[in-house]
Amino acid sequence: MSTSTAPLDGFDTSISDGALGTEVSITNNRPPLGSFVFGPAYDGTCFIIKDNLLYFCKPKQPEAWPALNFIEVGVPQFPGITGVFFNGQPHYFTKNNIWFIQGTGAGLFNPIPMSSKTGAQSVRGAVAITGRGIFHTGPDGIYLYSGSSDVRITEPTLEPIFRGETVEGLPGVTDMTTSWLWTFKNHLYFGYRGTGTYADNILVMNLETGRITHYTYNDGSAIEIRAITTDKTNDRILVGDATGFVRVIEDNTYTDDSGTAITFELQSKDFTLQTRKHFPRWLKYDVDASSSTTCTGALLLDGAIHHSHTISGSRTTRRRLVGTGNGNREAVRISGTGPATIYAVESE
Amino acid sequence: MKFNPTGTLNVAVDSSDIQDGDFTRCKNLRLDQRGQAKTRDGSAKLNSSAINTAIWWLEEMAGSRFAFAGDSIYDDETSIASGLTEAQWAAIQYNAYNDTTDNIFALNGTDRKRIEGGVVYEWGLAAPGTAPTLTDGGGSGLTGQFNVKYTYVRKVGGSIVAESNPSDAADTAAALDNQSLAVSFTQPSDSQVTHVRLYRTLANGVIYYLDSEVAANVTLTNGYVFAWEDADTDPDYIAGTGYKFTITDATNGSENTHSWEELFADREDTDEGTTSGPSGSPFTPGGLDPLEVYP
Repeated sequence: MSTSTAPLDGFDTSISDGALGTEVSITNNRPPLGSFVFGPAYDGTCFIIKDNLLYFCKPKQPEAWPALNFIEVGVPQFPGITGVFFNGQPHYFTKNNIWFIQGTGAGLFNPIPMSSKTGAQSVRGAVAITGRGIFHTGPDGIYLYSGSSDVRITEPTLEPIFRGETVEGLPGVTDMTTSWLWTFKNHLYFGYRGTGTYADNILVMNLETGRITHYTYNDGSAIEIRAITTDKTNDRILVGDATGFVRVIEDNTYTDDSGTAITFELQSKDFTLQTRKHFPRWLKYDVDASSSTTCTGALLLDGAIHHSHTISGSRTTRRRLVGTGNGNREAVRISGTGPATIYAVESE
Repeated sequence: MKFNPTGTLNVAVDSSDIQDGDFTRCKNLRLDQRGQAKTRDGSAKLNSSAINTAIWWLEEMAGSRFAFAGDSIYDDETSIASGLTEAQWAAIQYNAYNDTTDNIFALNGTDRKRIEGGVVYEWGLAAPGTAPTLTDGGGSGLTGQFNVKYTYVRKVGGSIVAESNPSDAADTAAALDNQSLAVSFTQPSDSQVTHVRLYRTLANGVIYYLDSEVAANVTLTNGYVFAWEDADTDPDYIAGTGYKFTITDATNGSENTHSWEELFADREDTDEGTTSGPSGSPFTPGGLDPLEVYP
């Protein structure tokens, strides 16, 4: 037997009125064509930012966005950029301000402007951390908003780079709109554009100790990071670079960047003596350089390298003599490539 | 002088005024252990050949990496959608209503996409763009003025996980006098739609209530014995496509039985296999008995 087919595009009904079901819903609109989405909140509400409007869906129904489910936040001249949840409530960021979205649902949401010093400069320009607050980017640094205060946390240690100054090899920030913030394993990551087009420098802060370090990635050429996320399945950070590669970073199974040894550098403060100059005679390096490709220790007097030594082996602390010289300020710098651990440097 | 890396990078204070354990340079060294500065962990490419260079957003779901890059979306660096607007994306992960499967919901100001199982769909269901048309059907039971709207639905198992807004009502309401209501609707072009729901008014009413639900894009099969039965050109054939003892209802796209024919519903036996049809009735919960109007 052969067959022919025909589509079914009609039907015939004689159901009685009493047997009819629920009333048709007219609030199942598609989501608005917004620029940023975040959620869900504790009750399953998701939020979309479109210009200076904040839309929200029906709770637990991310595909149903009633046309009237929105509130106006601020003025159109300052559209929303991003949003995060903090203490269970949504917070909405413009370039200049933070808005606390008070309320629990349709008809109850109210945007309350917070007395924050700034807002966020990019879609990844704010992250919330329980017990700390919301880290967010201003035009002049990273701020920590905790509800009762908004503190520029980069002021004590990093202030000059946010004015565009390059300090001790640390490039100044040239554009905050391509910067991003991310948290992973008790660290806050801040990626910013220094000399490239996208974030080619990363500042990493240990959230427990507050210690800050500077990362760059290079696999033969500088890696500029445009996008970042956490791979929760595999417990790792993924980034998307500006050359079309997805990479895993901060992975302890790798000791290089796609085959290129990692360059490192550490320089001490300038030690000074109150009434006399430094006349260094020797240095001792407590460094494990047994796995590094290269490792060099250098003594700096008044900001210039006075003498340098090649470091090898593991924590070989023999005395390394220094050529004659003196200066008001003395510092040490250890640099190299590959895995190394720096414990201490001593001089006399 | 003794230097232990116990402090932090500090370039904001004069280099002679910072704490002894602080440093003015600290590049690619991690400081998670007090008194030690170790070369940071490494990195590696996950794709051997580059995808689009403008990676706007990354999202990981169930071990798969979704990259929104350029005009495309990639699943583990394999393109699963293209031709999209090149703009900054943002995305969340959440399950659809009444479902436990995680989806990615993403937008970029122009495009709205839902990703489930590595397949990209539109985010949300658009309302049907064409109003239904109504005529009196072949059955009986309804009297009064009736109008109809219909929606598109996505179901997972027996649960509705998304439903569109309704279509416009039919331009002309149907005036019935102990008749049934025949409805023609437009099938969805969106592949995620699984069902179409018919809502109609009460007699002379204005509010629309669920009447019936039918599987979307069902194609019904008619059987015939000889190839020549498939031809429409020979006037000797009784009706429509093939040799069928039915009357073609062009309005409703159905093949109706003649009044003189015995209905399956009226038969005492349960033989329903001699004429082909859908393997499962698309009609729920009510509507015309599929055995009375046989497509």
